[in-house]
Amino acid sequence: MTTQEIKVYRDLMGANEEWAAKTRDLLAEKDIYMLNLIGSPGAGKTALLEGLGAQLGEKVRFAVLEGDVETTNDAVRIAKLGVPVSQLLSGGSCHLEAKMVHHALLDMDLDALDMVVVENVGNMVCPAEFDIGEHIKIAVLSIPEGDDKPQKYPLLFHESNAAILTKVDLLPHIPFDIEACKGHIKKINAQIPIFEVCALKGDGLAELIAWLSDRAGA
Amino acid sequence: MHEFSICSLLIKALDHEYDAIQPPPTGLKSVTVMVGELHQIVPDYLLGAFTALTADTRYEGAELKLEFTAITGSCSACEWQGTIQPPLFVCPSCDQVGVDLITGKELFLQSLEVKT
Repeated sequence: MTTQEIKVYRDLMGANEEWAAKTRDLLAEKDIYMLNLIGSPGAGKTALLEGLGAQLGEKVRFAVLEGDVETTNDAVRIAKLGVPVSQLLSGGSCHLEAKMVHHALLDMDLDALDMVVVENVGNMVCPAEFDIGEHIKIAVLSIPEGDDKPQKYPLLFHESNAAILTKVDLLPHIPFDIEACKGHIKKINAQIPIFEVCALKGDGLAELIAWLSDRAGA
Repeated sequence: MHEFSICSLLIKALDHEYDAIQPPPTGLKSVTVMVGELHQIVPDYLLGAFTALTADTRYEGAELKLEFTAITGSCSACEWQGTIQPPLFVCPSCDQVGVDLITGKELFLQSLEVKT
């Protein structure tokens, strides 16, 4: 037996990138702005969308793609707001991939939308790796998770265009240094805005809605 | 566990390259992948995924070789250039935030060693 070495240099993300590019073309054609919300399980991503629901809906026509490993629980919550929603089940995978998102978009009435919010599978590592064709990524971090998370998961905060600190009503009860946390984020990505919200009480949502509406061109 | 997904992408890329080889090889001896350290890949998980996903296929028994590339960058403010240690995106020379990455994000199928 003889062996032969063949040099190739093929990008492994190539197939995913092709689908992400198709999605970007589709979104450009339909003039839709797409967000990719990334944070750990329990960070409050779905509660944030529930909080944004009605008020954001007055400014932009938006739909939600819910990414989860299992169950349609989150899609049921979003549907109660009267917002168009599709549930994407990753079936064990820790993130959404571009092909899956593209096909979900094709099933939506895109002519009736200005914005699509993708809630990625709860995880701070893998979703930051996979381009799904979004315009911006947004990192979601809740107060109970700890103020050092930006240092532990720097890629997410580096790739994101905004950070949202959720559950800020818990600050009086939990040892979380919010200024230190914001400092950690600024040391990874100096430019991004950092929003502080409590979705259940509505605190801080007006600023976030104004920023999102502005980005979507509403 | 993004290693399993990354391994699926590797096998798709491998199929594409392997099918293009003429004359068709009789088997795969090894495959080399270049991995940037920014991907935070756990080598044992990726090797385990490769063994599982190639079982009972034409690639069964092939060796997966990983070549890691360090995270390097340069600073636009002070022209420093070198290997970046945590904190990852701060210039170690002048403390400016926003070092431009040079290497560390690679994820390439680099080469195949086929049996002929």
